[in-house]
Amino acid sequence: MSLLSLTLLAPLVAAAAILVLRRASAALALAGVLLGFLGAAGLLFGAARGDLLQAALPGLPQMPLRLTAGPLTALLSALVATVAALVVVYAVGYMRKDPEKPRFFATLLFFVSAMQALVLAGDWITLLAAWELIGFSSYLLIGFWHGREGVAGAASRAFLYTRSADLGLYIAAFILIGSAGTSEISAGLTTGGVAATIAGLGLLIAAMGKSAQVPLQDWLQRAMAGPTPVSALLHSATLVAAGAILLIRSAPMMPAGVLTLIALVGGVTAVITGLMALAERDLKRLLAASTSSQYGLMLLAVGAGAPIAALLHLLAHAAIKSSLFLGAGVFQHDRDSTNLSDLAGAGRARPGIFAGFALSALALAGIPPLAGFFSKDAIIAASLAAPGALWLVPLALIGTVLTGAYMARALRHLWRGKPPGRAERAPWMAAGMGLLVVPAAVLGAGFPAIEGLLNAAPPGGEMAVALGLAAAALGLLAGWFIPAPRLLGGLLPWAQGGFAVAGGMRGLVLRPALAIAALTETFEQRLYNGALATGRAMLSLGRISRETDETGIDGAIFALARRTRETGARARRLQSGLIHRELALTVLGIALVTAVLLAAPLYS
Amino acid sequence: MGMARDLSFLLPEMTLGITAFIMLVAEMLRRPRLALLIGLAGLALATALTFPVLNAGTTVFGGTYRIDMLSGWAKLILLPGTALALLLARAEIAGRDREGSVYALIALVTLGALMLSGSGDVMLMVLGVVLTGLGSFALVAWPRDDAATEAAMKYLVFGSVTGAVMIYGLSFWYGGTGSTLYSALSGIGDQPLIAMAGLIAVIVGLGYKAALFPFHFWAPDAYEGAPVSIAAYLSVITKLAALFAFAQAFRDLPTSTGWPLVIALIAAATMSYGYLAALVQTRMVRLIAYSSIAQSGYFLLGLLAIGGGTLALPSLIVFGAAYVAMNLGAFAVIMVAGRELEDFRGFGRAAPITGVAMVIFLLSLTGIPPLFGFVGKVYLFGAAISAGYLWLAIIAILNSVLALAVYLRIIVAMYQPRPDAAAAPGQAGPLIAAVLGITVLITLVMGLFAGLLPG
Amino acid sequence: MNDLLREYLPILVFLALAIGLGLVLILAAAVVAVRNPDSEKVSAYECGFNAFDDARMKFDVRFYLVSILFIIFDLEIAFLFPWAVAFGQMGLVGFWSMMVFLAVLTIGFAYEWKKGALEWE
Repeated sequence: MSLLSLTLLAPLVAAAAILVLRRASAALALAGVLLGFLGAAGLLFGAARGDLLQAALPGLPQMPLRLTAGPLTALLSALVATVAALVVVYAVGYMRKDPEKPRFFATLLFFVSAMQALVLAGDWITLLAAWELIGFSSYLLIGFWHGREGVAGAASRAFLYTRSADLGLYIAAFILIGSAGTSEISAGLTTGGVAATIAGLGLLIAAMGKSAQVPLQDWLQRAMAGPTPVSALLHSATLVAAGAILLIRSAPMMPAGVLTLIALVGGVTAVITGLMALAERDLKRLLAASTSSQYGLMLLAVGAGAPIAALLHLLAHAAIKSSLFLGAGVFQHDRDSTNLSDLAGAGRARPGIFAGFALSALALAGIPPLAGFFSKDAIIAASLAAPGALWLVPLALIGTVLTGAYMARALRHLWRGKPPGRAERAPWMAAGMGLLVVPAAVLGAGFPAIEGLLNAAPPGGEMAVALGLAAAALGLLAGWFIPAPRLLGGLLPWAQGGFAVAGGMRGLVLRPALAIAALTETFEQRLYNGALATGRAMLSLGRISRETDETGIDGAIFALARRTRETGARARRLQSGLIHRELALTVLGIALVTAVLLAAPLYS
Repeated sequence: MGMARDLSFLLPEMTLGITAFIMLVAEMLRRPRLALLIGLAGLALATALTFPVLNAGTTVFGGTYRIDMLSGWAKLILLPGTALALLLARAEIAGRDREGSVYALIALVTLGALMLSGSGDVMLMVLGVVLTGLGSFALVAWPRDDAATEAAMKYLVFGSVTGAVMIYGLSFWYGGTGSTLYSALSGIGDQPLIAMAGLIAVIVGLGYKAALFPFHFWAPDAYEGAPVSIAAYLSVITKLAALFAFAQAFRDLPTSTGWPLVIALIAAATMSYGYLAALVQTRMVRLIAYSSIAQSGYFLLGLLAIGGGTLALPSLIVFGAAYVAMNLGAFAVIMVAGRELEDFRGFGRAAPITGVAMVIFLLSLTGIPPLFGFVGKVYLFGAAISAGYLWLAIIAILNSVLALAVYLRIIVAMYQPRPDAAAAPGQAGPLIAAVLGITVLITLVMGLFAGLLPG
Repeated sequence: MNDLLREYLPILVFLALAIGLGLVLILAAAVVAVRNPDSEKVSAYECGFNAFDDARMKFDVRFYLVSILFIIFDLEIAFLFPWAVAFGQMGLVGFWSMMVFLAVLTIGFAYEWKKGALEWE
């Protein structure tokens, strides 16, 4: 109980203290995450001893808010706490000169606290709450530099994308609560039948949004607009991981059909976003696309029936990806850019940082004895053993080849080029990154202990090792020696365009919604003005959708507002004499109600 | 003695009524501040007097007035809500002509609202509708300018038409059952046409008051013409009263009359229409007006479970309490920032604390956990699902994405750079600050402790 | 149902009487009265002036105010009358109920007086 609250509340209290005191923010933040880390470590030891720590708040009647620290949740909590602590250490250096440091650390700690609530959640309501809170605080973090061009839009986009996918979680949670009769997650996981299928699909949609799976992958790369420590935290063990964590936790209840779908989504994402990473010209965006791709592999493992393999890869990826981002942030500080061509040779100026970066890159590619080797192995073995091996194995292998290729490409860009003068020392940043590279390298040795803790063994086998090694080596060599355009061939323009499917969200969701909204706005007038007015509505809709095309999703709502102002004068003139019309509509409404009631015997 | 017993259960209502008349006297003596203080004291006393009768579960005056869980909690929500609205009104119109009359009218309208939420008889429902209506018209017309007069006129014409339809239709129920009591309605299922006439009457009359689609047309105009604090008051108190009155009436009405489907359809239309229309507004008051129309649609989800299921009343009460807190809070921020969306540009930076409060209200209105609004919506969804309206719950969840788009527009504007030409926003005075503090606290904390509410 | 209707019988009788009396009076005028029309007598304005304005003019809103005030007191009498008739059987509760009603009415009346609703100018 006290360990749980320490894990959860230490960052929260530190955040509040920073907001109130407005000074010593770095020290307070360090204290907050370190205390949180101690709590999480305590939870992990407790779980290893076999304790099941629980805490409950009154919450809703019959649905108390629960926190549970079982083996899996304690492990994830420790992971979050570790990465968060190291990212904060790094951020002390990275944000040293930023005038709005207090706001940054406060939001970051709030996010960490929400993420801990998410992984420790023992009931669906807490999970939903934490899910929304990490969404909202990530919105604040991505939009931290909201004064800069495009940042506010990127943050809103990240929020809206993930938020619309959240619907799946809501629907799933309510169905599971309804069918289990309690809001406890463990009870909900025994659901079967149609309810399990619908809930499983809902969870998949939610996970696709949060973990940036195709076709909802677009927001993640734009989210790079945030400060680099934010990217490191969000992409490794937290925000993006939430989707995979959700699926790993709910894997026991997934029916076979849903599992197949999960594997398919994951595999396709691994390949498509891998291609995007290969085509990318910006280091941070390359890493972002790679995040989607790696989470695709995890989903594939869940779908193949080996959530333990997905969990191992999640752990390995968390350490690897956060150290990669932190390295990228150091280079960004040196060159004031994340463009790969600007970064040419940045690695030579800082051999130490580059060595850590390269070690992590090799780990991600899956070179033994680094951490990524073991987990990727398990994923390939799982896909070999799965019922759909025929198409899962190629997807997993292509994903692995691509991983090697884009990491090799990034290394080559950082290494080659003119070496500039010596860079200034960055002790905090180096410390944070260094401490993360170590687990990225040696975490593999800890996997047996984790497997023992969770009482689950990942699939293995020589076949998988051989295939994985071959794919990784092939990818690394191809990425280093062959330029990306040659590798991609005809796919290049597609990959650079982000594989936008049918206009993406804009075409599928936003434009119809805006069109309906515009129709509603003109509903009262149009009903009377007949065909002529319909024509006019179409014209104005046409203009709106053109503006949507030109200014993109972010400008669309404001464009609509502008159009409304333009027609404001006309609308007002109609408005003042409208009482009789509105009354007529009311009478129409009464008639409709009457009709429905008269028809009642037909359907009841 | 019967009479004394009945009156003892009515102490909160009588306290409020007497308070209202003392307030009128204070206004006659040209002591508006005194009227305000009397009003606050009376509301506090009435709230305190509610606790002894909270779980009485009885009726008075031969079943015409219900002292049950719903009407008890309605008092606990509406009376403090009215006190907050009084403070807002004071902040807006202090020192102006006819100030005390506004306070007295607010108290009288709340008395009507209490009657509606406890009504066990069609006569009392009509009385409640008329009492809330007459006071509201006068409140909307208070500023005496063109916009207010037009808004009040529209409100009045709508009220008269729907009121006429309502009274006419209700006479069928009386004719069919030989009684004006709701409790006599349980046997009306075998007279479908008569049941239908009365049902339409209730839907029209109360639907107008609760601003349900398609009886909502007056709401945006009335809110815009009225002073902001009055709009805040009308958007919560009279609306909640009408929804509670729905619950009282439908409790005894057999579902075979077909009312659940009609209510479900109206709920879906109201939610969607409200948010879609809010999406294109450029004036804050209108935007919040349409948003509160949409919120009424959510309330109807809870109403659906009245026929069967235990979640109906708790869901209405919990979301009602949440709605009062967050909507009053949002209007209070509008009083500080301004009535146009443009006024909110950069407001979050110019007034950080008020800005954060507004973000909390808007997120709670969206239904983001763990805020109070989310808890209320969980209940409502649960109620709808338990009543077998899964499709409606899904529509409601879909609408909450639309809601996010609506409210995010405000939040985004609040954190954009403030235009140079704009004057610095006004500071929240002590009264508004107090209201904001209370409502923020409720919105934040009650989400975690909603288990203490009924259920 | 029959009992219910029987209770309303006096009202029906009253209604019939009222209609009957009205008809009788109108018809009596038509039957009994002496008629000797000329152009002055059948014109709309038989008061010595020619019409100088349209009859469909706006009435001052204050007329409505006065008429509403009148209706309130009219209704008060409608309440008071049966109360006075049945006073003997009612006891204290009945007495105080009416007193409360009158007090409310008086406060309202004092309010409108004080607010100047009774001032014509």
